[in-house]
Amino acid sequence: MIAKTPVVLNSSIVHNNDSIIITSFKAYIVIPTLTDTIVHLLDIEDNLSCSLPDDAESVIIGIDSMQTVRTNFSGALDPIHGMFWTWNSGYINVKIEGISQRSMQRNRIFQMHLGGFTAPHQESIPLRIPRNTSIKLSIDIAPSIDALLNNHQGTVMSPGKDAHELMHILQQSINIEQ
Amino acid sequence: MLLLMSFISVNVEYFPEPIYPIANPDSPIVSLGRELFHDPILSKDSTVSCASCHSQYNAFAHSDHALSHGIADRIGTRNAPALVNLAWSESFMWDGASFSLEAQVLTPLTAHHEMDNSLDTILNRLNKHPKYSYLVQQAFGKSPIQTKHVLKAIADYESTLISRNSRYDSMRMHLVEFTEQEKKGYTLFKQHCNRCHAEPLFTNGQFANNALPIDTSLNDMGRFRITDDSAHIRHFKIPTLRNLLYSFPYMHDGRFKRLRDVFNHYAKGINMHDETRSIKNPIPLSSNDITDLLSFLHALTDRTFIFNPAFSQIHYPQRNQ
Repeated sequence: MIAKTPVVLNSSIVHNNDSIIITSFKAYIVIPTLTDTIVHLLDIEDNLSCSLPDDAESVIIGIDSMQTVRTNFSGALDPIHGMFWTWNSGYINVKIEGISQRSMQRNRIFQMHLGGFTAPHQESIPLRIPRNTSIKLSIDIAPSIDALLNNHQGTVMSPGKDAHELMHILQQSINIEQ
Repeated sequence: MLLLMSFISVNVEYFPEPIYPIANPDSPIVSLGRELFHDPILSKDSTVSCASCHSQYNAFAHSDHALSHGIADRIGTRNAPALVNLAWSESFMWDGASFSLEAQVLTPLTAHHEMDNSLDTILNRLNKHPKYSYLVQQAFGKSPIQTKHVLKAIADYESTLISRNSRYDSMRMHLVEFTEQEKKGYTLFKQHCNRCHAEPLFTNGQFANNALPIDTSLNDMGRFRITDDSAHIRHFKIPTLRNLLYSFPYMHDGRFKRLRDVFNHYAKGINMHDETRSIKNPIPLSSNDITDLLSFLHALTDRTFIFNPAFSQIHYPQRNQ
């Protein structure tokens, strides 16, 4: 969502006297269960829904430290998906890219690659969820895009305090509906 | 299908336990990794292999280049480090950016000034190549080759690059006795160098700022870029000293061609204005001390490592046309 408007890939949304186009949205969703840990990579180009085991009590947005160092680099965790930093090992937990007239970057693009698995910048978001039911996770990405454009020239692509700030804003913008 | 994973044990009592399991050099996974390591197919324009910057005759470092170069003569910002005893390392790269041997492999494959390739392209090429179809089948019992196979194979091959057959090792195993000069050098080493370049790996695996004069053309912040901790400004991984006669030039930016330049730095070149330096004062070394230390450092040369045919590129016989 941008404010109350559902995001459609490559479609313009008016927000803050600006025209915002989302060109990429990817996020890792990790579901710990009693017996297993399931990792999904949600991609707006593909599918933004995933199945939820009955015994799941929480989901985590992002790959935490333990899972990062134990990665088998396959399936959803294959770096081929463009969600692994090769200059600084670790997964990008949330990737949001688009175009805004407010961006100072070339071709008015903005890039928000949020992640980090080592202290003090561990950026995964744990969320408690009700059991045995389907849920809808809606995230208003407008506040984080506003902060990216207003405070960071439209680009944050490394772990650190900037990514932490934006991840915190995203966390505040999550709504869980049954 | 049963996949046999075999690892060799290291029975040298003065060596610590490795962190990464050391693969059996005879395993098909290592054979695949050895082939990939030496094959320029991994780079975007198929001109540069891992071995281009990590050549065996330079102790798997990059000879005669201060800053290593990748495809199209693109010059990077650091000197390719020697690949030796990596199974004992907790992190990789000069700034410790990579948390595992597998993760490290991704960096040179994709970095603009190294191989500048994409995983999609690499996997496509390998999956079309009959040699790799065969080697992957042998190694993993299935195809097509996936990212994890490439990373595992190269990492396993690198884990076999073990150097522990130097004159120093023979001394530790009581097979030889050091000369008087080597003994003097060893004593000086333990007094001045061993805290960071700790025996028997000759690195403690940590990061330090050895107070080099700042190269403003690079302004390399080292580990700070990874940790965002100002205490780590200009901290770089402490390199092993094993085989250092072969791994010149020295320092993260390859600024010193000769070992005497390195000693001169520690004796009288310390940048006392660098507040994040790990070395507080110059090390008082006389000319005789330096000669003795050099004698000891020569004893870290392992020619069976430098010339081990099991590490080198496999040359297949040419078919008659």
